[in-house]
Amino acid sequence: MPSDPAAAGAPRPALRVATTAPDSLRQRIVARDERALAELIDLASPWLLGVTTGVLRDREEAEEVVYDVFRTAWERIEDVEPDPRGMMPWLLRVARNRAIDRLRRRNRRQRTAEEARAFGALGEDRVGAVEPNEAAHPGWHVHTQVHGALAALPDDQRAAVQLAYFHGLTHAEIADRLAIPIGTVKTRIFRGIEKLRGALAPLKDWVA
Amino acid sequence: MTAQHDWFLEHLPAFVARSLDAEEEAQFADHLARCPECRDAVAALEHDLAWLPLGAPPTTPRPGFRRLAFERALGVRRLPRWTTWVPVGLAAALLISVTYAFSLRQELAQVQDTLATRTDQLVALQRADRIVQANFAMDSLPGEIVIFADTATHHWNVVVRGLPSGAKGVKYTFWFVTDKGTRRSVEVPATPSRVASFSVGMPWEDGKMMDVKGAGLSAEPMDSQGDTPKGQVLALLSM
Repeated sequence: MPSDPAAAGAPRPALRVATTAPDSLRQRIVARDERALAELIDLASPWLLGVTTGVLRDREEAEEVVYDVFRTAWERIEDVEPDPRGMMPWLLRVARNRAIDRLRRRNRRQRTAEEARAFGALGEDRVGAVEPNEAAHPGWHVHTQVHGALAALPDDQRAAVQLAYFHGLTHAEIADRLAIPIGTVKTRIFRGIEKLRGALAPLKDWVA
Repeated sequence: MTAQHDWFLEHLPAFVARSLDAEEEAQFADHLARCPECRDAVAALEHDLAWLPLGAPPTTPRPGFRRLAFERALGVRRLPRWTTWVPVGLAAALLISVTYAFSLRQELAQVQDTLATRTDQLVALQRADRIVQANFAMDSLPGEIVIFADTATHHWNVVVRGLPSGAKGVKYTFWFVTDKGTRRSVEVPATPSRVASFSVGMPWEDGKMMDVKGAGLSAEPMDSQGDTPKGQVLALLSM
């Protein structure tokens, strides 16, 4: 299971969410500053809900996952190795993994496939246009760069990556969904992820 | 290097993407526990893909979400029991009566949202550690604006009384006064009862919560945009 790896990037200039900043959210939360927790909830909720809702397709379940993520952050963040990019990478990874775990604990494959089909072909909704006022969210510039990296993938790779990464489907489910062999699914995901790695690795900062 | 090890290296992206089936994923996790090379490779890939989840568009939290997230993270009831049960009891009673009156699911969902908002507001009133009030006049009618500030959660509950609902060509607008100038907040609805209430969080800019010095209320022209008030300023409050 993906864990909480140590950060490998060099520290960036002082950012509010950067662990190197004197007033970093992480340090304040470790110090049990409840206002920092409130700030973190305001900052991260839209993105964590976006990830978990995309996987679970159920607003209430998605909220339950995010509640648990914040509780874990509050109770155990001191056990997580600091990341110079701040807490968001860890929060996003934990939220997505827990959403997928939850998805796989329940037997709703059929429903998910039907909802995904109804929601839009090949998961295009996950990189689709959004309301302009959402640009006010902190981190929006990172979203637009990720959006650009996904859009730059060949259509077949993007479809496979989106169904896996943003909808939580397995190779077999994706093969069934796209009516292609499992080996082809694996190849598309491998190539798509490698391309995304090259495009996203230079991104370091959550806050512009 | 073994063929088995090569299989794990080839499936690193699938493991990080979580597209392996349950059996493969368990095998992979077991291998990671014994293979430092693959552990490092997974960590490096996760590091490089750290922002990929942001490919999903943000979802605006529903009313009540922030309060619940805050309370559940703390894992304790932060209010005396009676102050918790009074709003819950009121909400439950109202929910039951509304459910009885409206059986359609969509209507019920709307009421639940309203209840969550009202509960939020009630809790905000109880928690407010600062209350600021100002009087104003609109069309010669007296009015007032009251801000109940909860500095713990950085949310304000605002009540405005006395806004005429029939004013033509204007929209009532609530503003933040920050150390970097004014920032447009929300449009204040003018209701027949001439009472409006709403909750707002503090404004953010460049990833930081802004330093809010005060607030204002104005009657803006309908085409007013941006962060500079253009209409009649009705009230200014210093926090």
